[in-house]
Amino acid sequence: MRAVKRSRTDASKRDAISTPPPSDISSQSEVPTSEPISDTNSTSNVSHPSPPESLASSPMRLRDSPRLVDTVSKGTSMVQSYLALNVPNLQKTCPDCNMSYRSHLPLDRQVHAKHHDRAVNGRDWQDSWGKEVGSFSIQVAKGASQVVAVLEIDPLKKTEVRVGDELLHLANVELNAPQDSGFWKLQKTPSLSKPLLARGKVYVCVLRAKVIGLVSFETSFPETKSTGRWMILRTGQVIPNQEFPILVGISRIFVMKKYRRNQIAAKMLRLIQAHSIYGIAMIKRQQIAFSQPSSSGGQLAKKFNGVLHKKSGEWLVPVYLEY
Amino acid sequence: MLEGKFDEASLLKKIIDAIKDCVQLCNFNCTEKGITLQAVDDSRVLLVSLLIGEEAFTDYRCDRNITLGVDLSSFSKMIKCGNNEDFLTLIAEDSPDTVLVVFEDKNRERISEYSLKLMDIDNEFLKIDDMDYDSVITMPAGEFAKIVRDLKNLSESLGILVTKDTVKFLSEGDIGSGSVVVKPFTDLEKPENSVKVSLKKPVNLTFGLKYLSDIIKATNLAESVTIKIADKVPALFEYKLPSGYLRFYLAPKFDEEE
Repeated sequence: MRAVKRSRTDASKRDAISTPPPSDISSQSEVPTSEPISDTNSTSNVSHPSPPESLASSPMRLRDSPRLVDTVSKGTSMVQSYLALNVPNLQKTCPDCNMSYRSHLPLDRQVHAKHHDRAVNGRDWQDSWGKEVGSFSIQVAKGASQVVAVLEIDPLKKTEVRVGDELLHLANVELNAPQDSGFWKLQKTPSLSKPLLARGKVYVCVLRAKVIGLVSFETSFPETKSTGRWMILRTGQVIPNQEFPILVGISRIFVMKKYRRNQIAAKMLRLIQAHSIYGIAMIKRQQIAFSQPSSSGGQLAKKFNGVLHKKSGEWLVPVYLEY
Repeated sequence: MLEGKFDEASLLKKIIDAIKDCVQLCNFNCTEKGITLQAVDDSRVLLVSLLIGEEAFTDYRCDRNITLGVDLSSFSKMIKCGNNEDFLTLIAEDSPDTVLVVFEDKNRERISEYSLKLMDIDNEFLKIDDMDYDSVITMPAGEFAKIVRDLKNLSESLGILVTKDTVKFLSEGDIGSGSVVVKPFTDLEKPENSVKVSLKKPVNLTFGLKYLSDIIKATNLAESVTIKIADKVPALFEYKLPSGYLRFYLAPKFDEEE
């Protein structure tokens, strides 16, 4: 029994620890039966790196947390220890922004507060950024409509690209999607006439100087990737051997929670049809495919260009493999 | 049904004032033996443990165990509405949404009622066993508060060094250092002024003064404070109530290399 309790003790320091007073030993021998929370396996007993053995049975022990060293004791070499209690629900998940964080750590709370503000209210957007593609109005409150501007991020401008990165990161967190390849940024190409080329674009929706939605899409593809396939909406299966050419691939499309159910995504898709490729007045709906639609993304795709397969009664949506 | 009547509102006022700055959301667990509370501050360095025993009330009745989830800052606003000498009665149903605070003026026919909305607070009640401490110091609460306040001006940490018959409080900062030495002393006329030190083993520990200054907010509650410390376990600061106690468990600071 005692060997188990010692397991957390740093072996190298064990010799240095003074012998516990006799009373401690006697109290310890009673431990297994009398104290339910002093079970070694209990999470309440996370110990200090080298607790004296006499503490092994105490219900509260300490641990160091290097995380807070600089916030607690700047200038001195002292580190504040913590009570190792079995406080439940240490990890919180914010219902609004979905971020999980540990509420007792100031650093976690700060990071959450920052993310929360951006995820719920949207990121700030400056007037000078972006090139306007179009606009539409949405109903924010009863009767009142607001104009949402859709702007294209200019890949030549560093600030805009950085903001775009931040926004996509936010969208990826929300959509639970991996980081994209950065296809919308300028990339080196072998062509001499156009040494730098972006393969896609990012449109952002701005309402009252806040970004409330964005879409990133690819307009040029490496040779073999410009093919769409059909996906069964219900099961998420891709139908084999059925390929068709596409012009635009929607990589990420995302609207802030607060502004959903306003057809913002559908309106952005319409702007993409009209403006994304120079020289084509209106891209056909069938020439647009989606990359790994989420459940709400699937609903958007179904409404936008989904096809009902009459034989099986399944809805099919066009998807493509993101480069 | 909970019904607890205090002879004077001031006791509960002082208790809430003492803890509301370090913990905000707490469950008051009401049982037939009295009301207990346990809460940890946000940084998980300080634990507050409160027992208001049945005898602290002039009338007390609690048929079933009731948990009252209270936001202390709101509760404190309500409790301040009563005069110190008023009767204060806490009333709650068996599974309550609100707790009723009733003040009765002893001299005039005036009754004020406040109802506080309760919250669901997820908190597990821990059984904290008595530990063996290396040294136990009992000293006037006011004196301890003064030491903390004075030495707080110098640095963020307070060292407590207990050797045979001497307690040394010590603080070193950028501007200099300060120390206060307290020795055992018995005042026969006013026993509350006595200082008692019992020592099994010399102790040298350091605590954050930020937390100690939260603890000394309980100074008004008792004449003396009992400090129990041992190496590498949370120190216990206890203020005895007329019936029950207010205890603070504070995690010490360590040298970085350790």
